Amino acid sequence: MATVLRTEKLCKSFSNGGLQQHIIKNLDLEIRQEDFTVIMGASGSGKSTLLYALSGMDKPTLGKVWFGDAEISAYTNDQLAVFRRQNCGFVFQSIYLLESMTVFDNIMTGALVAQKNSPELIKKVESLLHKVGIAEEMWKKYPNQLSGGECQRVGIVRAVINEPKILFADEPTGSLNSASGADVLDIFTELHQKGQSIVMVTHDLKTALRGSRVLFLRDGAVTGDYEMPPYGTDDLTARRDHLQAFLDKMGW
Amino acid sequence: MNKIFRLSLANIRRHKKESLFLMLLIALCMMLLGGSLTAEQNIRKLFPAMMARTQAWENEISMPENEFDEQFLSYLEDDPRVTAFHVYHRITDDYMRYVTPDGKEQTFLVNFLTADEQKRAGLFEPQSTLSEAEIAAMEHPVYFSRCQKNSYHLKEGDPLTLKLGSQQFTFTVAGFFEAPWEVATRLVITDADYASLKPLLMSAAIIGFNTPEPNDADAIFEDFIQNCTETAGREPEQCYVERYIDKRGNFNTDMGFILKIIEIMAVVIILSVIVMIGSRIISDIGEQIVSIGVLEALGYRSMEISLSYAAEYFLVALAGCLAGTFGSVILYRVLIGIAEKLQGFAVSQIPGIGRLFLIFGIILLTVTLLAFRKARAVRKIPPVQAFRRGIENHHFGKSHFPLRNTKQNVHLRLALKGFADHAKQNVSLAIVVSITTIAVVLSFILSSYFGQGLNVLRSIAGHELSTVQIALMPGTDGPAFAEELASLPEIRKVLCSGSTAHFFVDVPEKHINAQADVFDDYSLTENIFPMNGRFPEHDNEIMLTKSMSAQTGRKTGDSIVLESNGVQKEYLITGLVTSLVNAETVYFTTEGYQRICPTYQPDILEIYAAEGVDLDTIHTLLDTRYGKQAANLGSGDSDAGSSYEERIRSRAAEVMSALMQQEGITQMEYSVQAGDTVISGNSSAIRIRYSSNLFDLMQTLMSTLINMISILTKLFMAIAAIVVSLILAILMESEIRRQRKDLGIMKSMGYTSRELMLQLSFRIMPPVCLAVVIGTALSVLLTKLFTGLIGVVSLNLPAILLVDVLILAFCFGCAYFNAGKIKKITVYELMTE
Ligand SMILES: Nc1ncnc2c1ncn2[C@@H]1O[C@H](COP(=O)(O)OP(=O)(O)OP(=O)(O)O)[C@@H](O)[C@H]1O
Ligand SMILES: [Mg+2]
Repeated sequence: MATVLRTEKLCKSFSNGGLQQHIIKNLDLEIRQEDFTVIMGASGSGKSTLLYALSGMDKPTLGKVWFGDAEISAYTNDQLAVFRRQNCGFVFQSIYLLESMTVFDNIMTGALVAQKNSPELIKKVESLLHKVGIAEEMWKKYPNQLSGGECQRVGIVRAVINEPKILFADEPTGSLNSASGADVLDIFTELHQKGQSIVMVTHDLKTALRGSRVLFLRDGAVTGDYEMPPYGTDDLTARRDHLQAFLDKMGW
Repeated sequence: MNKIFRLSLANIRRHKKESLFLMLLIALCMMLLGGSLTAEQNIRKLFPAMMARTQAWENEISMPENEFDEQFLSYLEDDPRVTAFHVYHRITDDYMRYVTPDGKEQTFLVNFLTADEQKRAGLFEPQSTLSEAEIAAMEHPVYFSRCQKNSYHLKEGDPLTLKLGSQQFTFTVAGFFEAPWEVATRLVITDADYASLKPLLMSAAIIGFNTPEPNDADAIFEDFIQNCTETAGREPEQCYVERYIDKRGNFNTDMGFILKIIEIMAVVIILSVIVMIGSRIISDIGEQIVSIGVLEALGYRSMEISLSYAAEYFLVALAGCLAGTFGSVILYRVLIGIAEKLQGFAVSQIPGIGRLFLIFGIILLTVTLLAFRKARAVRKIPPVQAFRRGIENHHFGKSHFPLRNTKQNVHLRLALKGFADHAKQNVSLAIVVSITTIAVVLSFILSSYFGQGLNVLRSIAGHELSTVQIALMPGTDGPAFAEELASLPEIRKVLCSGSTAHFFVDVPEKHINAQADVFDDYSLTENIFPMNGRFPEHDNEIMLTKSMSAQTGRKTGDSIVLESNGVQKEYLITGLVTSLVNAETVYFTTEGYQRICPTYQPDILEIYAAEGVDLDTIHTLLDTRYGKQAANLGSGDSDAGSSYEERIRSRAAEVMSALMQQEGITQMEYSVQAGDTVISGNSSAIRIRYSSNLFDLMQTLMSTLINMISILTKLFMAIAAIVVSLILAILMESEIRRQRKDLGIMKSMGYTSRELMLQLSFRIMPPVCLAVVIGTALSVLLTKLFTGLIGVVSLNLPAILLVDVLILAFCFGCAYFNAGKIKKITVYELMTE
């Protein structure tokens, strides 16, 4: 499969009170198309930092990030914004819907930044909402009138409405109970099955099982790279055991 | 108390910039209000100060010398209302000219007095930097009225050259003395010079008198004239009274106008500050709702929290007022300086402390109380509700501008949506911007009006200001001569008028001494504009000045009975005119004036030079074509080198003109035999008596005022711009802080900083546009109100529209600039929040 994202000696450091803290160190990594890449690691290992460097949310301190032939690490902030609207979708742990807008408008705000309004677009939003189980009477509600799981499903629709090349997710089920978490993960699986490339950060084994490739991050470096067949094509217990074994080996 | 101040200090620290801007606004208020109100207080003292310093008479009756009789004085002596009186004499001439150091001539209204006469008119305590010996060595020393010093830029030892016709009189400035401010300059000359000038000029007796009740002056004058008429057997002509209250009024109007502008500005700023503070506190409470909940949960009472808000604004206002107090002392100094420059008399350099304190207190109290009142909204927020981020903070009703209907640009749509969802904030923004628009547009109208420099005089004079005014010899056929002159290529137009100095019109029940302006057809005049109504066209129609309308209580459309030399006639008022030069003027048509003064014939011609022709050219033209003006003839020094015949002719013209002027002879012929030759001629060539140019004089007297107003209005445009930019900065600052998270989310979705900046700036535009429209309309209306004060202000609508566009662009620019803070929001900080 083709490579969509590639990093070259990627470094990211923060200065905390004059002290340089190196979070990502000389990382060379390739993210492939149509993979469901899961990034795992201990808390504070730099998973989120890596995800945001990959997705053009943030600029690396040193090194390069390539998206196809384009070196996005050299982009200006506004160029990065345009890059994001054209190629990336985001699902956050804290969901981050716009509180002042209705469910429908939240999605439209994401959609209209990249495309013109059209009846087809409206239809697509509606069918996606139906698909993730958001009934029509909720469309005109505001985010804090919805449950966390409902919000996250709206968040996913907002992330995929522009058919991004890559869907990024940072612990999308982190703030949900396990039932709504499973619902949300099912949507991810379904998207992946249709060919959506996904990069997801998690430290939850059940969530990681959904992936097709697991990267293990420790001290700013990828110390493990584990591949699995697509979710649902193999025996779930065996899949879990294998992944558990891999993670154990990584010292998780 | 301590914990309250700690909370408010923390709040100030949290929005340093907004607090600083608010402080600046309050400082501006304090400065403008404090400066102008204290200045006004002391400027009111200027006139009494002047009267005290000059010991001038409060009221003065002016009588031509030949009408005056010493025995008239007994009537004032017998009048119980008169506490003191004295007569003094002066000589004057309306056609005296002043020669500037660079050789230019301008009309110079002057009253000459001797030292003894001046002592009867008031004080004469001349001051000079020169020694007595130096002054004694001067051939023609002159003491100049000190308050006019600035207008003529004179100092001791300077020559003062005056001309009457072709006669030139050169004096040397010996020093200055205190005389009251008048349009005519008062000069004290030696007895010998006075005696030699007297035959050439008009002499008048001035009876000064004081009365405890200023309003009695009119009645005293009437009774006086009545008595004089009985004694002399006829009414003395050309007598009038100058009243204390009129003098005071004229003295104070200029400064009053400047102060009005400043006070309006201060009020504008205060209003916008009040609106600003209100909306800031409300939005701050909304923003801080969680912290408020935490404080309440910790056991703070809602009163304490409200007080901490009030204390926050108290501290800001205190700092602002303190800074503004310094500003107001400076502004006070500037204004008092202007007043002194304009009117030549100074008052205290220190503003009234009491008034300053009062303003300080009022501003401080207003701001604090307002903040407290708004902050009481906290009372309605119990902790639980606060933790839920104040559910009512978001409205869950109708969502405005749903995005599914987006047709245009999404950024525009989002801007509209943001605008519609923040109705309250829009109202306060609209109010603030309307108010400041009024300030800007009004300042613009005034500054472009006064910025034309002295040309503005033309629109506020209320009199024709032609290139040259010529007075005709008696018997000259004005209209025919006018036609003849108008046919010359150098002359664009000639209008017939009447010499206003000789006619006085009485309005019976009020006895206002008014001058008459007389023109055939007012539509041909260039400097007389009715501020309402229309020009008089028929012989029963007149216009009045605004001031006369106020004094008589008659408006456009009313009728009025006028009286002149015992003849009473009724007229219809067709319009009102603002006149700065003579507030008591009645505008007649020629036929209209002949109704009340049947012997009237036009004896003044207003000559308008053609495009590109200057005053000197016209003078030369008149001299060469129509010979020397009668006033130029008296010199006697027939040009050396001219032929015998020329000298004879010149002498003959001189004699004829003297006879014509003194005896009212209209037509003369002469024939002189000298040896074989007979030299003959007649008086028909002598048609021009004097020429003058009123505009020069007005320029000299008014230039300071006009320049001041022009500078001030420009300054106020700048201040209004500063206020708008400060307010928009505060607004954007708090808006961005409030929306920080949403902006981060939008950025993550791929909105660029530039797009978000545009969205935020566009969001404020609907209320700003509306406000600009309202503000412009209101300021145009306000301009109409000013008309009574400053004349007909012509509105240049395209220019005003341009200003509006500039205001819009400026607001947008400010908003966009301040929205630049968005750039600093990184998506990343959102994730690590
Ligand atoms: N803006 C920042 N400034 C300074 N230090 C930062 C910043 N962002 C992250 N860090 C530090 O970088 C390290 C990695 O952070 P990161 O959020 O990538 O960890 P993570 O693997 O996502 O952890 P978690 O599983 O808890 O989300 C942490 O030690 C964090 O303190
Ligand atoms: Mg993380």
